[in-house]
Amino acid sequence: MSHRSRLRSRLRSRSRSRSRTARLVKLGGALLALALLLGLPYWLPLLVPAMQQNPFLLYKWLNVLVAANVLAILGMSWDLLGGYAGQISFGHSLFLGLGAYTTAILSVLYGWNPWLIIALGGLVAAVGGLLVAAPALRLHGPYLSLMTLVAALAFDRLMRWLKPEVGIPGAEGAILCVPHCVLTLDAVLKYYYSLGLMLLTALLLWALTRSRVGLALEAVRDDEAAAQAAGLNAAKYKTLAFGVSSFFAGIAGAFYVYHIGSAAPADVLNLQRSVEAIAVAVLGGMGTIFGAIGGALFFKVFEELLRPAGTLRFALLFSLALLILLLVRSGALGRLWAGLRPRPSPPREGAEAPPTVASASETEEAEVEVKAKPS
Amino acid sequence: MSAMNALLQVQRLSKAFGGLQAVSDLSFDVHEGEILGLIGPNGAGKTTLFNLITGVHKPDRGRVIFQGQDITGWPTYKIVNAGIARAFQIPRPFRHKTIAANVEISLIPNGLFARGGSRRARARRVREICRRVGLCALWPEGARRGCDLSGDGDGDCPCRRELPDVLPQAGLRKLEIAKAVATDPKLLLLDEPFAGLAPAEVEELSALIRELREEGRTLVVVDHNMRGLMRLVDRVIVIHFGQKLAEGTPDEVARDPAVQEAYLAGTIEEE
Ligand SMILES: Nc1ncnc2c1ncn2[C@@H]1O[C@H](COP(=O)(O)OP(=O)(O)OP(=O)(O)O)[C@@H](O)[C@H]1O
Ligand SMILES: [Mg+2]
Repeated sequence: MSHRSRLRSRLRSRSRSRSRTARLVKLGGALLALALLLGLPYWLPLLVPAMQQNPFLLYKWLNVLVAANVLAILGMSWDLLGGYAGQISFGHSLFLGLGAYTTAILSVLYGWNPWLIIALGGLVAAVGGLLVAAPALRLHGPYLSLMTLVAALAFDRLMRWLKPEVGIPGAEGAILCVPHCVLTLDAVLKYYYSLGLMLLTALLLWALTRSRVGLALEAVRDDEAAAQAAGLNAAKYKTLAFGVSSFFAGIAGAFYVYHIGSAAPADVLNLQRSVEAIAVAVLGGMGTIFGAIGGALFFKVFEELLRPAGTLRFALLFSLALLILLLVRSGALGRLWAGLRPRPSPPREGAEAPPTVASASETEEAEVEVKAKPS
Repeated sequence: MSAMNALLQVQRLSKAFGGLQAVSDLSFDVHEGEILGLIGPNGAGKTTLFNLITGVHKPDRGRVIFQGQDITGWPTYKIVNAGIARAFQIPRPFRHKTIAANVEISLIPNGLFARGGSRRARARRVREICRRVGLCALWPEGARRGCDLSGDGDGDCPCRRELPDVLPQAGLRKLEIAKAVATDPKLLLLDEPFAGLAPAEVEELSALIRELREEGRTLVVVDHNMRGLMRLVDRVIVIHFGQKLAEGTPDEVARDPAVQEAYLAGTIEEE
């Protein structure tokens, strides 16, 4: 039978040992990257002698990497929702902002333990995520994306209007919370805090996506009706994805406040943050979780390198990101577009089955069937 | 007909799409443990009926009672978890997931902290199901050692590596049935499982359907005609323009004047 031989040749082409080698290479790469990140404060000055004379140059770059770790957490949280659950959010700055404002306000008013406040920032953002999920369940494709975008915009305008004056009133709606929101003055230690938080997030999200919950999310993403037919409560899984995703986005925002000492609409509620979340997740590859780490490193390092270009740097940066996407990762971009397109109505059951590549005998059989049907 | 042995009761079900009455005032029972054939020509409303029973569409009128419980208007997943599974007419695999993962999806419980068994237990169940619907047998003998149930769960079964797109039409149908069986249904709705299959494959699938009945499941099998169903089913219901035209044993239905008239009118094919 011809399909048997087809199967056989496939089996031969995909040898088991090759996939095992690929897995080893991946694991080795991941361990190497981890070692590089862990040792960075020590090997970077060796690589750049200027840092040995001027430690502030090292601190500057460590701060860039802290920002990259924060962006990585945001990007990974977006990837859970967008890459796994197929819910493309354009408004992750909302959750980032909820975490940031919660942190800024709580640190000034109560001054609790920073890690407790950061966790509470995540929880408040998660509540926001669940509130957004309720209407989001009824929407698909671009309508869902638009809804998240508008929600983020609305919160931005709300904070500007409320002008919360807990700390020193700065720009519109901004909260300056230093010296209450300081984690440590040691730049190296702060780098390790951010790295630890980022790695913990990566580990938790990765474990979630590898679990049966991740499989269920992917099923819901790929074919919601078929997932329901498999007994999965699609609404529940989507809500869960919203909750977990916004929780980690809130954690990112909360830690960010402890990093820069303020929460400002122009910063944490800026829609550009939403775009950055998508950009780093897509650059690194949607539906991979870890990809966003690479995307965020790339993004923040280039942003710093382009700093001499002033405000033009963002135009340059996003153009560069776009170029890379088009050249290298058109596949990933294609998947984002696929996620943005309105869902085609499910294939109607009465319609003819799509032609299948089948063995000669099956095709003949199918033709006989078609001819036998009265039209 | 007593409600005692009626597993499923369809009561005066109606559904229109725009001006088109796809199902109209349809009533019948499915008895516990039987294989019921549902035949009718193209567009008779067979698939729509399945969609109404499984909650994909809400009926305009009428009720669906399953095990004495009114399930009309329930969401699909809840109906599936109550014990009604369905194999789509056009196979609908999750194309980015391996064959085994496709089956595993049906085994995932909704409760986040529900005991869904260990990963290993799930993998074992997946292999069990893949074997029993004959998915593993699609591969040559040497390539499917890992499908053995004696393995440790990380065997070399091709179903764990391959995506559904390697499957021929018959394989996709088997996968569709595997996905449905994995939900452990009391009632299994099969939408034209024989379409496009070679005679040998029809025999194989019929044997599987009988086996599923032996283990206590009830089946409703849709087809265009009685050809494949005659020797398989206990009872037949003929649907025509969304209405019930006849009901009875295969012989009774074949002798039914209304059915014969429809046959002569050429709207129902005879073999
Ligand atoms: N979602 C839908 N929207 C509009 N019309 C529909 C829809 N589903 C089915 N129909 C129409 O309802 C009628 C019954 O269709 P159905 O698919 O139930 O028939 P069927 O008996 O399954 O036919 P087949 O043997 O071709 O599968 C057809 O005329 C079909 O065009
Ligand atoms: Mg049909």
